[in-house]
Amino acid sequence: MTRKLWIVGAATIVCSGLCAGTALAADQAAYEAACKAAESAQKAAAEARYEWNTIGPLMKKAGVAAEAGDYDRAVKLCDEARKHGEAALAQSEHEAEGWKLSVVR
Amino acid sequence: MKKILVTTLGVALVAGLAWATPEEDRLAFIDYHKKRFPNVAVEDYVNGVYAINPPAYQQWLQIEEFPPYELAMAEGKELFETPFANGKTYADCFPNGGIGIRQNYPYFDAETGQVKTIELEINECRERNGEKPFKYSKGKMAAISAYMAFTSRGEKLNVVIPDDPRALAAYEDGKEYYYSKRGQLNFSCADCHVASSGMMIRADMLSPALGHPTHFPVYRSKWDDMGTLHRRFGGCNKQVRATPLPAQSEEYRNLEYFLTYMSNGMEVNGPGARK
Ligand code: HEC
Repeated sequence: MTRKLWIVGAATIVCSGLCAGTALAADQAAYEAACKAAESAQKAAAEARYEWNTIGPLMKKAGVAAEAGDYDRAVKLCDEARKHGEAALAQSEHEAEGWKLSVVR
Repeated sequence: MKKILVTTLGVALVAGLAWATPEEDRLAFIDYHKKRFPNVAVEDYVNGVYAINPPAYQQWLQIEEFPPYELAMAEGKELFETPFANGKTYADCFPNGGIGIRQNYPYFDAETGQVKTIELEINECRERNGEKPFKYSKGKMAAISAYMAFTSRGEKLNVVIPDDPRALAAYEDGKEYYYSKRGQLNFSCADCHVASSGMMIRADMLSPALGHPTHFPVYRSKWDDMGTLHRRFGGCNKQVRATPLPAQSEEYRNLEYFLTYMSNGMEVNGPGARK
């Protein structure tokens, strides 16, 4: 009985330790990497003059979450910000030709 | 040979889809509006959304009885007439002493190769005379611009695109900006003000693009304040969740060049009042 409990307990401890280090719980380094990727996507969109104004607020929220130690949330928010930056850049590429379709003629 | 011909034709067709002379663009623009709002006279588009919304037009006429831009205009007149520290005035910087010239803006300046707006030249005048530039979107800048527009009321917009490839490029750049979708909502200026004009967006009816620049700067109730055309551009960028560009950025000046050219021949009636 005691032994069985011990095994389950040990397994739980091992898992939570391992998973925290990998995929389940993010840490500061993961946040910084995600944030950096978001910043560079934002910069690329801004240089194309196509930045969305959603990106800045997402990164700000990420910063607040990171400060509170909630790196999971911070990483998620940075990933979202990066996706918005990438979508804005894709939009600029699409519109480089796409705009011509709606010109009044 | 035949294949090459067909290919060339195809390329020419695709290119031709977007390319027209500015004058062809303008005539097509007017034609579009005539078809979309057959009961609205072309000269009435200077009244913005009120040209297509009779009940709102009546309310607006009442507002115009005590125009909310009057204070700013008086401030602008005083600023305009007060000499700089060096004794010079704005009148020294502009043709005709700055009176009755709004209709000629924006224009293409061959020397710098740039589109010049009236607000840009107001600040250039200040800096040339040793004064600090004003911020571009509101406040004193909007006040002086309002006064200069007022002295030009009734004059017809006369934006010129000279025979200079750089001028045409600036126009094309503004046109591209106008028709390009942007922001998280993926809307172009034209999506709202051309294809959807007259339709409701939340509590607002979308105004038609024709006549858009005639009455700027504007007193806007929502701002409880005056704003320049570029302030409005920024606001419309934000509505689609795009990051606005700085007022008087090259893109916005080129956009103003295109948009004002579309309203060539219409009367200056600034400053205006809008919801
Ligand atoms: C999502 C729809 C939408 C888009 C896209 C949009 N606008 Fe607007 N715009 C509005 C609304 C709403 C108003 C306020 C009501 C009105 O006058 O149409 C407005 C007002 C304006 C006005 C002032 C009209 C007046 O009479 O004072 C101008 C000028 C203008 N927009 C230009 C632009 C330009 C240039 C763009 C592209 C950069 C743009 N708009 C994109 C919705 C939009």
